[in-house]
Amino acid sequence: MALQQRKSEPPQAPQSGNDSLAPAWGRAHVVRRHPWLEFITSNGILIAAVVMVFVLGRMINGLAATGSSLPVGLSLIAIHVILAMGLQLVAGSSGQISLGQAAFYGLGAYAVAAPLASQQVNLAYPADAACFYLATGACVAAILIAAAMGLWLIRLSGRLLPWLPSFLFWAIILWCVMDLAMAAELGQQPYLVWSRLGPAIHAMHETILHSIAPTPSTAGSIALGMLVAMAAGTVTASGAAWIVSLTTSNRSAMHLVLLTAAVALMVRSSLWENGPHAVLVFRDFPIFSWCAIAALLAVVMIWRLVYANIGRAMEAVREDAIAAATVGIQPRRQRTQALTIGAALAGIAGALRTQVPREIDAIEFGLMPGIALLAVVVIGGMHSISGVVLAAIVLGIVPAFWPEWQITWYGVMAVGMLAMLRWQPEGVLNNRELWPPRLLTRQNAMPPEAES
Amino acid sequence: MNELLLRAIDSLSAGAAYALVAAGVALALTVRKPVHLSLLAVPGVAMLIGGWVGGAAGGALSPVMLIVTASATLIVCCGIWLILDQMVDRPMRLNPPRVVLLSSAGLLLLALVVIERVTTLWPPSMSRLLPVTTSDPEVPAAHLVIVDSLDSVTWAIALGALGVVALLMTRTKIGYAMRAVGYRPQTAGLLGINIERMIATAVTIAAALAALGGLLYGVRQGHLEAATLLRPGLVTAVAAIIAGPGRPLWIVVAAMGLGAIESFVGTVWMTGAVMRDAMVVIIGLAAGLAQSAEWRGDGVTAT
Repeated sequence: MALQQRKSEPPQAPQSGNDSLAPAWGRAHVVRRHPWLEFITSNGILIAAVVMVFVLGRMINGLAATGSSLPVGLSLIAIHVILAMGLQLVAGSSGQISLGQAAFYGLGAYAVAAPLASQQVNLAYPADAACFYLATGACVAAILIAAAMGLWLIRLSGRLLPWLPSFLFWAIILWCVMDLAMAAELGQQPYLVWSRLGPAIHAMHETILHSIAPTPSTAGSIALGMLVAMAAGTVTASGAAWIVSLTTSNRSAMHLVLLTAAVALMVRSSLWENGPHAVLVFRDFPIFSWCAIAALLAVVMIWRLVYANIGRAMEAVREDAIAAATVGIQPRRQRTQALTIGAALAGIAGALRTQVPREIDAIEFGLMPGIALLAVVVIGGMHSISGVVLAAIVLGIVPAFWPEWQITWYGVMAVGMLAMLRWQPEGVLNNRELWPPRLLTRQNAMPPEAES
Repeated sequence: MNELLLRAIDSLSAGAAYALVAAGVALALTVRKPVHLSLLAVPGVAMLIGGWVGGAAGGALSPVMLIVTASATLIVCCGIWLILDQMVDRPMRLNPPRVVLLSSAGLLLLALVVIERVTTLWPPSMSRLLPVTTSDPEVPAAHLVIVDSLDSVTWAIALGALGVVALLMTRTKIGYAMRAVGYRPQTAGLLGINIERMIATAVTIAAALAALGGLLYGVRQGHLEAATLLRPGLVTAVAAIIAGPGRPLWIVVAAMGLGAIESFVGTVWMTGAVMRDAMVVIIGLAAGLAQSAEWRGDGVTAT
């Protein structure tokens, strides 16, 4: 009763005690009464940074016309930062060792590059692209629902009968994948999958498209198309990570390591070695601005996640899962969230990679870059976001500007990772941040003890 | 029907090569739970060495040269991994399992880089060292299904090596000591077992088995590429997922099954390697979802 009464009372200024608290309380009260003011005060530094990056990006993009490789190289470094941020959440905050970040990056890129290369999608027509992805997503969702039903039937009881339909579901999925792969290899249309799914996708695509007037190809429509592509890459990569996490989140850490290694092999050899190597890149597309802003937003997002409740829950699970479970945190959910969010960032990076005007090599999405990203996180410091950003920028310079030295550079990174684990496991910044945590968080979200 | 049977025999032989690699990984898992991930690269290194020697000999090895090549490969692989174990892994053993796993991932990256660079600079070539008698037009159709010499050699080596390892682990003092170290290292140490020596022995034997499996796999493949060099290790990884870490026998069986399925699918329905890896991963996912007993956790103990 007393609590209810206290809640219903209007906020009052402190009557006594430390007088220095009064002005601060007053400011907070004014800010809370005006949401737009709260937004600006909470995100002022972020907004200023985005504007600065946008202006800087325009200047650097202008260099592309002079034939400079600077915009391409800097874009790849920004993509490297996005990937490292995703893995920082997975390996640093959540404590899961995933070798598949580059594979999720490859999946996101493939989801965008394959329809672009086969000219099924034109990003200059965002409604068209959205229809294609929605129709394809509906068909994939139908298959996944079938698989989920199969799983549900497996768990239904211990009798033999429920196993039969579940095996049938898995057999159908296996057959679909085999059919697609065989068709890709022989250069033909897949008989089973395409003859069923293809017309369905096409019909949905046409129906929705006829109800929408096609937009002309302008800078705005290309930007909108790029957002659609980024959404498609994100959904693809995070969906794959979610499926992987379903099988690994309550198992030994080795399970995730081995499975993500196998996924990396699959993505490299099955998708990209026979996949598109170059896609249509829009002339004058400000790729560096996009990559830089996306990297900045990724850093801020991970920063806010790590210093919010969800990040604290992940850290609790990482340090002592049993203790975390006793206070109501679900370890499995936290691990799944971390892997899915990390893969979503990788999907965004993949979608952006398709618009960087450099030939796509299958080696970018294999096991080696996956472990190299892990090396970036280890060298930067597993518990230091700014350290990982710094390491991603420095260690990304060689692959971005001298791609022919990429593999040799991975060897250097491996040696650096081993040396760091042996003599300085806390990373180059010794698990400290370059700037105070409050700088990139919402002003009212940071509890006082977090800054210590 | 005969054609199908022939392919089945060929697939089983491919599975036997994987089984050897899996036996190595299973042995390492028995002694240490955070397994050396770099062991997954051993078959690739063995294939490289074998490929160079085979290429130097003109693609056709005499039995004596074959034995010399295999012995040299095994010695080199065992030596490399023993040195890596002592120099890199041993100082890390007192750290938490997560750090140990990360360091073994770093070693794996180093091994992959070396393999990729060396394969590009000096591409190895391995031809089938023994003639395939089934393609001989002189062989009558009624006797088409015969086991060729390479299959016989593969099976003999695989069965022999697996038998020796099984005897070592179940019938000898050193085998018991290795299992004790894997089960409870502190207690084993109190009983007078030299833990470090047991781990070093297990890593050496595991590297030898993986190298032998890699050699047999490489001989069957012929032309070697970087992706081919990694496949045995990763198929073995999925086999370990399917079977569970505490079941060495089932890891070997699962690897053999995966190898047989992969080879069978590859020869019957596919002309290349597009589908093989996808299928292996899907089987791994399905097995993971079906909850293999050894990997199963209660949602809170996965560290």
